[in-house]
Amino acid sequence: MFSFSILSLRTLKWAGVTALLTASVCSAAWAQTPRATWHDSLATGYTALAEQAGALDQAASTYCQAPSTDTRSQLESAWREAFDSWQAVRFVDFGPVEQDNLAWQFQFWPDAKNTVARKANQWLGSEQPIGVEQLKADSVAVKGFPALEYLLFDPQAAKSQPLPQERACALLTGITALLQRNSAQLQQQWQDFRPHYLNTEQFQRTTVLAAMHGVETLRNKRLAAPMGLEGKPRRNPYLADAWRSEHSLAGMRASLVGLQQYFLPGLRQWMDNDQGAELTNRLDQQLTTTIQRLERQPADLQQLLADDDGYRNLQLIFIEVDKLNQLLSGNIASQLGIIRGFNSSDGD
Amino acid sequence: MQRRHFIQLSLLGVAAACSWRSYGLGPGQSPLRFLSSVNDAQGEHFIVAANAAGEELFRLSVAERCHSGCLHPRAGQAVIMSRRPGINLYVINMLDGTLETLIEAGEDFHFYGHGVFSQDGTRFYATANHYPSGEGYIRVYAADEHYRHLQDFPVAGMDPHELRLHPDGQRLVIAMGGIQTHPDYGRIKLNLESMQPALIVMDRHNGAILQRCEPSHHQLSCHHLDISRDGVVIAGYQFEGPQWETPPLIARLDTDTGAFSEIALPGPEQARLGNYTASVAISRHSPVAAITAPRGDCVMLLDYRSGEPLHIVPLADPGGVLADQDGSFIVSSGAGGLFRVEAGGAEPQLLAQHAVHWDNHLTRA
Repeated sequence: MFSFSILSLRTLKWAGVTALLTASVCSAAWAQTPRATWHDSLATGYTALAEQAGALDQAASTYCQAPSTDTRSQLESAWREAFDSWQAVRFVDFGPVEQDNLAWQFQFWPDAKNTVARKANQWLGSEQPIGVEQLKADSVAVKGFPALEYLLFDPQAAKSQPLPQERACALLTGITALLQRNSAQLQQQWQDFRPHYLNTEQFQRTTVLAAMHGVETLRNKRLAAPMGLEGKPRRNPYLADAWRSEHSLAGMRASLVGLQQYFLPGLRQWMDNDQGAELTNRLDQQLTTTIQRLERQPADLQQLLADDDGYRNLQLIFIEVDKLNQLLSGNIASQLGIIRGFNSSDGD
Repeated sequence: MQRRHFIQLSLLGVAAACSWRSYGLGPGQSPLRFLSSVNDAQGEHFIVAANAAGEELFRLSVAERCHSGCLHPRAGQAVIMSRRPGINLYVINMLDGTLETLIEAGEDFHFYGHGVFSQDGTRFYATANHYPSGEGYIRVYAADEHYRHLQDFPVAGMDPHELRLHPDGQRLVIAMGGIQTHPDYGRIKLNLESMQPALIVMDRHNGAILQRCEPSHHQLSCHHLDISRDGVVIAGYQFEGPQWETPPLIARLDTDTGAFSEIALPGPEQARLGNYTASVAISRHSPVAAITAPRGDCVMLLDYRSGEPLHIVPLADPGGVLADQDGSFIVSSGAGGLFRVEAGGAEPQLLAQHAVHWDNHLTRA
């Protein structure tokens, strides 16, 4: 059960010398390690996020300077693209994204008390100046994609202060500027994090655990809960994320594409024997199957929940996501000897 | 049968679990027993009582995840509290293994999951958050009057977490995390940039803050602690800063002299703790303290008198730890095992494996 030897700390002074001598040898091998691959993959993901957040910020400014049907539609597309690029890296729950609650700043969810709308309305209804610094000092609920989504897609927001009115635009561009800044910071910090990530063995497990947790959240919270399969046995689209923009299923798709692009290559490198290759191929196939099923849907979650035909479609999606979850948290995790800690993952 | 056995033994163990008296050295001392919050495989929540052999004595079904608590020194009663941001204080009848009553935190307050009795058992002190203001308080209850709320002592900061009664019976030692949370935001930490954690010594009668020690980094959240018979506090931190930094995670306060220091591990060993500690226990029979580090899958042992680190013992997902009379420690694992960890750092001995997740802390009962 215990793979580590039991160390007396008094012997460590001597061990330190050996560690220094071997360090240069290890560095030459980094290029081949799963963690080096994961770091590179996720750097690509974070770069995409920073670029899309930049494009979103630009689209928000353009729209507010010259509001038109075209610039509005470009802005909404830019929101969807940036949101998807966040979904693709959302499973990463360690490293720089933990700093300053960045993950929460990008996406405050779940939001059972509708805090996003409440906080956004406070800003819309008050007279205090709106800027990046002021928003930075406020709640995480108003800093990210859901608050923008509220402004762009929720008729409630449009009722009180529709875009492109001045305050709504100030809030919109303030949030997009903050998102842009946060995503650039994350991209940079991920680079700074590289030596620590490569040098720390524990991150091998941590990265797989993050992917496991990401799929589990997708299965349980993003899909099963609104379907009434988890928690209250009642269909409730408002439990999903991105329901305002009717982008719930598309967001799930983006998360799975992110796993395929940014997680799978490093995992393949770790599981490089025959059995491992078989499992990672199955994972790849299952991701593709699930992504394709999500792409085939005629409407988003809310509409599918409304009738039994639609619900059957969701059940079929759920079955695929469940298979994915079993494959990753079951077969693959046990092959790697990874067990999710109860106290280590949610302590106090 | 088990329950009766437990009841009989409980009656022998007339000691305040959260003060040094609980480790009474005289003959007739009862063997170690404890309470712990657990989740079962289905995610249902319970409070479980077990003994030092790892045998379950009883379990109570509860509606929420619970955290820690304290045994009443005399009344055959223990209190277990719901987990942050929970609002319930579960009063458990230890004589028949039943839930006696439920006390709520009161409007605008939630508990942090830890509490302690005075030596005479008339007062119960619980750490709490007044969440509209974010200010931390010690809520004082008359335990002998159906836990009537008496008063609140401000801790001059946020997030008071675990507290212990000093062996002198007059002072409380409080680990203050410094983290602001609000029930509207669940467990999100709202002030990571401006946290002000501390270790506090308070007069339990009037709430006066007698000493306040600050960790060496403002994001070292001071969460858990134990205090030795001779008044030395060992406290465990949880680091909220960047993962690539590995600051010291253990503080030592000698309440006799007021000397406060931090204990770091040499070189790369510090990183093995995963920047996170869960529970602290100090032995009453040897100069050894144990600190669980679930994110590092290990238990650290140190000499609490000299502050010298002794051993790192690998153990998967450790949470609760209690000192046993023979100088060893009982450690619970989130993976279901109860282990005995020897002070000498040998490989842990599995006492029993249960189909539950042992949660965070063991409460001496």
